Amino acid sequence: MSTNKAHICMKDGDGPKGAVGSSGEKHHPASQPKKKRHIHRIDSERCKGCGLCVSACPNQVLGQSDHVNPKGYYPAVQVQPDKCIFCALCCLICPDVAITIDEVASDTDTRKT
Amino acid sequence: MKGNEAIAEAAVRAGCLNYFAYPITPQSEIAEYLSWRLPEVGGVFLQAESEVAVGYMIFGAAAAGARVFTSSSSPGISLMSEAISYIAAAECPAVFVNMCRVGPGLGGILPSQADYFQSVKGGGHGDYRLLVLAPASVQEAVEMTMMAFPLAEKYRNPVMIMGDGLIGQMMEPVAFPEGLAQEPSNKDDWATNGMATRNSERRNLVKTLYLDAQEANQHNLKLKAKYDRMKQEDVLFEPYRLGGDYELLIVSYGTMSRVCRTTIDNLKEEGVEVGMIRPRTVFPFPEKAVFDAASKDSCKHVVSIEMSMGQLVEDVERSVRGIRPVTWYGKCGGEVPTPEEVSAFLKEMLSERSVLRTDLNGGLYGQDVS
Repeated sequence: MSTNKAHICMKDGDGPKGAVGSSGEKHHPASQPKKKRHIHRIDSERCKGCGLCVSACPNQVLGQSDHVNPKGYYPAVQVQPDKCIFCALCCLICPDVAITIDEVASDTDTRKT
Repeated sequence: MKGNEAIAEAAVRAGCLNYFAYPITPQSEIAEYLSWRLPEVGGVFLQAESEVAVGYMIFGAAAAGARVFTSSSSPGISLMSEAISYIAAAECPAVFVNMCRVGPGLGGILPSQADYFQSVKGGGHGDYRLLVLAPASVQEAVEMTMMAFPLAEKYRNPVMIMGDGLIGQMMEPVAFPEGLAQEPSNKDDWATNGMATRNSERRNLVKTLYLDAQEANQHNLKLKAKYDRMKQEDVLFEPYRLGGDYELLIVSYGTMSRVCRTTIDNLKEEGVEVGMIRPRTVFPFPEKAVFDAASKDSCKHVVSIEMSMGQLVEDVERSVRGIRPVTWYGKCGGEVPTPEEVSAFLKEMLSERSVLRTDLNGGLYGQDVS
């Protein structure tokens, strides 16, 4: 049962959860102005915290938030944005279609998106 | 479709056009879906001020002869339990969907089966029972929802669909079998649907108060006869790998039974034969099926595997009637045991079985055999 595995991955998996919380303020180094950045927009009201995206991501870009959403689930968050390769596997696997990824120039201020 | 949305659509297709509810995770999608779907088909969607109010709205609609259902999750069902007792006492058909979450108290929002006693043994006061259907997949949740309305009308009794957060949140392909939808039964004999509506001079009364002891006893005997009839006519279960010889018999239902199914397949590859009975109705419980399966010569041990702390195991022990040792295994709190964990437990138990067998009374709970 894949949903179940995803839960286990979130709780016992190596990595993503530990990195939660350190990501929000992360700034991309100004020395690479031409590189693209990939910003996950996760509809946290629709996310049910199943963690399928966390397990599908080949680069551990996503993790589980330490804040609950209005329904009480711990939604997915981008914890290592620099590692995103824009494969969109997370978007494909999300059963609730709650993830979109924006590809932006690295110097774009995305805080208002 | 997502389990919750599939249940909502199944209810509409089953001809239920009245839904009153109060949102609670992990079943709020049923209300969200019906808030736009019911107006489309001329039905009534109403968000109540609380689950207590929902319970009595259901009572009112059912007493007036309408098909009606609601959904909630564990704490909400607790609040409705008073009304459920009244509805059962007044012999009104209604359907309750409980997407169980972690308890007790507010508990958590992850899947659990800890409302087994609440669903099967009562929850409200008095000698009443619910017919409780326990789906193990989204497809089965759809079918059970469609079956629930005719069953509620057949017995004039509330029917509960006992899922869990996982069934509600999981997405699976579903089909809506048209054959399961049935026309509402004629309720003119008892429902307060209006004398002009039924073109009758007789007044119908729906009540639960019986102050006369003899009359109250008669009423309870009538209810008991109904519950006994359920045990005769509507026991549903699914046997799994019971055809050949098996050393262990698992009894498990709902989400947990899916994990057990995988475990059984994995163990078979390793040469360990295990069978399973999956109750599809947990009341009436498939007592005879469990007893017969446990009676098989090859069967040495029965295990109840559940996402609760030893609730299903009581009905399993009751059904096995002491002819085989019965052990409990389970997890709670939203943790769903993995096939590997179940498999490890069963193997350890098999290696200790000789110890367990000599200690029928004291050693029923697995590891405490020392």
